[in-house]
Amino acid sequence: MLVDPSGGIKVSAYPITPPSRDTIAQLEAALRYGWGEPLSLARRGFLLLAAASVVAPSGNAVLVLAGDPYHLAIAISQLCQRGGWHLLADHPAPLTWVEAGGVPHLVAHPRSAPLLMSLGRAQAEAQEGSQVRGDTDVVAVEVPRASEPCRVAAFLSLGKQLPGEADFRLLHGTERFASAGRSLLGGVLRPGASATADFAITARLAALPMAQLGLTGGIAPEVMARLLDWWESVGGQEAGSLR
Amino acid sequence: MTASLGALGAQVERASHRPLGPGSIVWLVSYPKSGNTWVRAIISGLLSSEPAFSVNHLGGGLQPFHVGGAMPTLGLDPRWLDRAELAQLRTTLINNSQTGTGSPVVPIFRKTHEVYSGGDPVREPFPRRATRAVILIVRDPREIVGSFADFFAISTAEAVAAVTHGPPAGPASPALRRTEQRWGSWSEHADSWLAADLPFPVHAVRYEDLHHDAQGVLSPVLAAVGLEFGEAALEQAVGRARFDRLVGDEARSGFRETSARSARFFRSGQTQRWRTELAAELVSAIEDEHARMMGILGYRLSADLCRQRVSNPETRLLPEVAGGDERHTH
Repeated sequence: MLVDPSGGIKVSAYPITPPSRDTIAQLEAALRYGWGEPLSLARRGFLLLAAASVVAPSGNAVLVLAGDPYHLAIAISQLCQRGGWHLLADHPAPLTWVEAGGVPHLVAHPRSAPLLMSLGRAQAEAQEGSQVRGDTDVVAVEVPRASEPCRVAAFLSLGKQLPGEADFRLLHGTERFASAGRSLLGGVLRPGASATADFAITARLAALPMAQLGLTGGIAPEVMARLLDWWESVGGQEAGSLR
Repeated sequence: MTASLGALGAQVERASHRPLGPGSIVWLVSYPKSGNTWVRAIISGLLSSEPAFSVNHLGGGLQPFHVGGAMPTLGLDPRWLDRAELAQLRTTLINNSQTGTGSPVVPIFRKTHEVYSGGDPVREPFPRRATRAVILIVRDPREIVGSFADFFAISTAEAVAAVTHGPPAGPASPALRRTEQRWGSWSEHADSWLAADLPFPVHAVRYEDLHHDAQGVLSPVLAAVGLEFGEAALEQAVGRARFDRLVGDEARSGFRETSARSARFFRSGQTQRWRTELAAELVSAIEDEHARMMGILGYRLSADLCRQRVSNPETRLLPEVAGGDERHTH
C-alpha cells in the first residue's frame, strides 16, 4: 500500500513495481509445469514416476529413464543429439497400464513441460537454453519432441557412477525390484496409494527389461553403443504404438 | 550431561542444559569427516529390527539442503523455483517432515555438516519448531585433514587450508535441487553450534571419546534427546557398527555416500594419526588458527604437549582427550 503526499492511497499486490511480462510468463510456466501439471496428472489417475520417457528413433517404443532430474537431462540430451530419440516427458513421467490381449502393458504419455537442465551442463552439451527464472541455474533446452502416447519397452535406471561400479549393466533379481521401487513417487502424487498397490506396480515395472547406467559426466561413445545394443536386444524396435 | 563433558569447557556444558525444543528432529551435526556416518550407523543399528546390517541402508542421511523431496511431499518441482524460494522450501520441508510417531514421539535423526544460522522463521535453515536437540560430533582438526584430503582427492595442505579458512559455500542450485550449504572453518562450525543463543540443547561429543567408549558416551546423550532403548541393544548396535565391519561392508558392496573422487569412504577410523602423518608446519597452521576452540573442546596444542614432556621426560605423548589413548582400535 503506497500513500502519496496528497493523501492518495494506492494498493498494489507488488512491493514496488509490477513484474515485467517476462517475469510473469516465467511465473506462469513455473506454476503450470512445476506444480499444476504433475498434480493434475496424479489426480486424473496417471502413474507418475521419478523418471523421464524417450521415444526410440523408430517411433514405436519408449525407454523409461528413471533417476534424478540432473542425470536424466544428460541422458535425454545425449540420446536426442546422438541417437535420434525424441523426448516424450521430462521428470516426472506420466504412465498408464493398458490391457492388451489380457496382459497389462505400460504406456507412456506426453508432457508439454520443456526439458530442464543445469546451465553448466547445457553448456557442456552445447545446448542453447533459456533461463526459467530470474535467479536460477536452470535453463529450458530445445530437444526433438514426441507428442503421442507410446508403449514402454524397457526401463533404464540412471545415477551417479560409484567408484568401482560398472558404467552399464543389466539388472537382475532383487535389484530390479529395488530399482522399480525407487522410481515410485508417493505423497500427493499418489493419491490413494497403498502398500499393496505399490507392490503390484513395483512387480509389474520389475518385469520390464531393465538395466542401469552410471554417469560421471556424459555418456562415453562405447557405453552409448552398449546401451543401444541392449535396447535392440530387448525388443524395443518391435514394440507397437498404442495411439 | 554426556560422559565426555567432564573434559569439555563450560560453554559446551551449558549448551547441553537447555530444555528440549518442540519438534522431533535431532540434528546429527559435525564438520565433514568427523564420525557422523559412524554415529548414524550406530543409531541405525539401534533403531532397526533387521538382524543384517548394510552400510547402504543407514537412516538419517538425507541432508537438509536437499529439497528434492518437495516433489512427492508437495507436488512441487524445485527446479522451477528461484534461489530465495528454494530456501523457503527447505524450511517448509523440514517442518513437514518432523511429524513423529509414538508417545513420547520418537526422535528423527538427520545429518548435517552445515554451520548453524538462524533467521526469519519462514526460511530458517534449522527451524526451531521442528528441532528437538542437536548432537554435535567434534573431532581433532589435525585428525580431520587426512580424511578430508582423501575424500575430496586434494593435497593435505589444501585440506588444511579448507579446514582452517572454510571451503567456499556450496551455492544454492535449483538445478541440483539444493539450497546453499556452508561448512565454514572448523572453529566457525563448532562456534556456531555452541553459541549461547541457540534455542535447543546441543550435546557435544568428541570422536576420540566415542572411539574410546562409544556406548558410554552415546548412552546418556541418546537418553537426553528422548530415545528409548536398552543398554544391551546399544551395545549390540555399537558392535554391528564396528569400524572394521563398516570397512568390510564398503569393500563388498560399495558405499553410495562416498565421493566420486575417492576410492573409499571409511579409512582407518583411528585417532592420533596426525602425529606421524601431518607435517609440523601444517600442525602449526591448524593450531594457530583454531587454538581457542581447540582449548574449549579439550584438544591440547603441540606446544603444551611438548612443555609437558620437557617438564617430565618420562611422559609419553599420549592423547589429551578424556580417557582416550591409542589402545583402542575399533
